[in-house]
Amino acid sequence: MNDSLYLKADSISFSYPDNGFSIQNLSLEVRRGSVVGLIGPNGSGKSTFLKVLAGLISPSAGTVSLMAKDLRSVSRSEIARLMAYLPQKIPLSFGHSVEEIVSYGRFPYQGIFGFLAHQDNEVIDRCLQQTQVKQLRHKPVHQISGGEQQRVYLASILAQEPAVLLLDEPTSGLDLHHQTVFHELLRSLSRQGMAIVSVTHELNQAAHFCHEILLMDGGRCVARGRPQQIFTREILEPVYGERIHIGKLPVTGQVFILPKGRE
Amino acid sequence: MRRALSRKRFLTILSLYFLFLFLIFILSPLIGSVPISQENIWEAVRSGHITAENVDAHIFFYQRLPRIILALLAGGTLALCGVSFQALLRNPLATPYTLGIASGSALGASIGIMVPAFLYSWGPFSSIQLYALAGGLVVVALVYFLSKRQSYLPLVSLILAGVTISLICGSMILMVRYLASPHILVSIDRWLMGGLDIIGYGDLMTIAPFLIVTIPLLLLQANRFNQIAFGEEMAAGRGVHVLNLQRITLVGGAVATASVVSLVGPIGFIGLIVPHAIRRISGPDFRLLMPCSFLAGGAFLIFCDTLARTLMAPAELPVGIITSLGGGPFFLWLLLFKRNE
Repeated sequence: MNDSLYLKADSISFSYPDNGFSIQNLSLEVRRGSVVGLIGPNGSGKSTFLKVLAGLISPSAGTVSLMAKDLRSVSRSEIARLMAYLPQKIPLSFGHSVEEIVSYGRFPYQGIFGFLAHQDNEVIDRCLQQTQVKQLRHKPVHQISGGEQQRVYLASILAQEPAVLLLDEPTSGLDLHHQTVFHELLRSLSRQGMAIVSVTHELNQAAHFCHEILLMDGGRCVARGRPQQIFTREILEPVYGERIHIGKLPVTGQVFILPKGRE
Repeated sequence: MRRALSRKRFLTILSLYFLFLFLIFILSPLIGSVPISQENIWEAVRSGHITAENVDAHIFFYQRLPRIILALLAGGTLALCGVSFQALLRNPLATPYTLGIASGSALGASIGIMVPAFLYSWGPFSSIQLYALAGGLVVVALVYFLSKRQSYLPLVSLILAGVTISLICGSMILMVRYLASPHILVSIDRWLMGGLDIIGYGDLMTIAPFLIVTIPLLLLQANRFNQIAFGEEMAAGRGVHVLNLQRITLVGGAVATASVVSLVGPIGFIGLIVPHAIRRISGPDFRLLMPCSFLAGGAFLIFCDTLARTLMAPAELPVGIITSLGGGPFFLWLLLFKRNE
């Protein structure tokens, strides 16, 4: 059973030296094929926690283990071959094409010059196909839509052939259709065995697509469990305030969250 | 329509740039204020030595050739450092001088020229060159330590610190100029305009050791620059040690730029326009952009220097004026008409 435990965070704490913001005592287990949603209000420490999981910042207490190995004992490029991280904001400076961007995902496997071998090209083709951006491969990335760009960046981190995906608000700024397309893509990746952790503000999408939810507030974990357990008035109201309405669809039983209008 | 960079495309494009540089490199020394006969040069090559009567060969080998090699190295280095600083600062408008290196060098040189007590020479180095080198490096060190945070280097602080220190150096240069006597003022001004007028190979030796180390060092970062083009976090997630890369780029770029500027003065615009042109022609992949910018930067400065030597012959124009006169309008054109591309 433990073979399926891909990523584990144990009592993680960290505080920024500049502003004193901290996350405290956070734990998480991500198994093969599961999608975990990190939710919580702005400034609750979700992205910081994700960066600790990705190994970008080292925790002041606690350990992160990837495939049962302490992250500190694994080299940077080995981490990148097992786990891929998609940041919240990606700057667009130099007009690269879609194919170039996806090819840069092969970096952890490359030598100093980084020319692509036949096998690399196969991986790139597969990732372009998987994320449905193959027809855009020769276009400059600034000429395609936001939804397409997000899928291109997903393709580029998939090219790392990771077992674990860490995504920081991957669907922010996307319309409902593209959000759904993106989440369905994540769902199908998880069915193939990938473990996914996604920071998100889209509670309805999270309720629908995640297997497990970790609700954070003020740098601490408020609740952890299946979406049905977390999306209840008792748990969400103290965090998001009283002006939300939680309901269930009559037929499917799917949970939904709406803002409550003034009465 | 641009594919991911393959070894074949890399080698093909690089050979074309090599060929282009090679043509300029062999044609340029034959052109000049004094016509020289190719026969006499071949004569010297065949016999292995230059006779006293063979004036053409003297001009070719001791005046024009070292100067053209210097133009190649200086132009190439400035263009390469331009690309490197653009990658480091993730800003296509960055130049080798953005962080204040040229201003620091200019201040160092101005002080060196003004205070006669400071004049001496040390091996092939003149004191002015050493002060210029030191000035550039001191400024970069200052910029680095002012903007460095505990575990990362904020790019905006880096640029702001660089620009501010540049301005301070500019005022200090004005102060030096105000205090300098007229004939020294002329020397300072002439240094600031930049020029490649060296004779023989001794001067080349003063920059060669720096460039032999820093140019390969920078070129080897190309694949990592491709990663930080999409942000430090993305690069770190791919396994790049971002702070190390930033340090290498800063130190390598600063030493290369300062050593070139110390010898030829702050020649402008090459570090900006050459990378822009190459990015447009051959794409933004740093593995291609960096070596091609070096080759094209070298070719461009050889070309400008040939103009500088011949336009007003037998008088010579400072080459910095030519690169800026050509580069300025080109840059404005990029800024005004090409902003959507």
